[in-house]
Amino acid sequence: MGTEGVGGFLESILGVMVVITASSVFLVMLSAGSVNFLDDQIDRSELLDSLQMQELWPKDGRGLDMGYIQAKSADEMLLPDGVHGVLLTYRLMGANDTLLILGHQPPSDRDVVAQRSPALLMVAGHSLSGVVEVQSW
Amino acid sequence: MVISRDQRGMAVLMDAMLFLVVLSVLSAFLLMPGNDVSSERTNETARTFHSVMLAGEIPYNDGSALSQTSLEMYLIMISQDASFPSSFTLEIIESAVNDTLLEIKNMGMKAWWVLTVGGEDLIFGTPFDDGSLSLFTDLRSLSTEGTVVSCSLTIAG
Repeated sequence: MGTEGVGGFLESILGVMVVITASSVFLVMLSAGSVNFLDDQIDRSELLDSLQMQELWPKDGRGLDMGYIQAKSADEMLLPDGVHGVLLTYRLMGANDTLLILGHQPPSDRDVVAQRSPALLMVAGHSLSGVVEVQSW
Repeated sequence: MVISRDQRGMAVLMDAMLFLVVLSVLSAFLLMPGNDVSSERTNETARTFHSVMLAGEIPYNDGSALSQTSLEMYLIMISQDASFPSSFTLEIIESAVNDTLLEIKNMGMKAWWVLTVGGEDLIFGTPFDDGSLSLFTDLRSLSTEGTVVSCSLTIAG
């Protein structure tokens, strides 16, 4: 690359512009969440798909059988890659008391991702409106 | 020779500037989180909460068939009755709706439910419409024959 005359000066400016633009694009991507440096970032949709397949999370308006879930052990749960553990909490709509808890308490040294959904809960033959919450890490 | 090189350098710089500006604007446009995301989420919240609320059984435990009736079925029964719902009926409906409204309120949003029977609106919860928040409404028409009954759950968020 030549450095003589105005041409060399313009080429230097061009180089600086490229660096500035690349940094701007990277910062925009970073702020939009397209890039992250967390290796263990949890894929929420993958987790919910997995829970739906195991009939632990509501799908297409179908009710969740509390009897079936109660009989399930936390160690039986199949979790997608990157998810180390989950805690599922089932309770009636608007209530603070839980009907059922499945899973282990999240460790204090890990980031926890939480999600909530309304769900029709089948309790002793009754279809009751409720809420299910999942904490995953 | 030097003049020619300067002119070519200027042209390259202009082209590069245009390219980089377009690239920056395009990346920002494509990657910026849109406002539609939160709107869609709130719309989905209204739809799912309303579905579960209507599918849930009414809190009426006298052991009769009515005690296993969903709110949706109960409202359809009302639509087949020509008379306006009694205060007893409205109490049952209110207790079936309040838990959902409370749940949504606990999530930091404002919500109310409107039951329209024969053109008359019955409002459950406190409507919030001062224009500062966007309103998301899930509307259902439940009548089969007889009185027209529709209901809507609105969330302000």
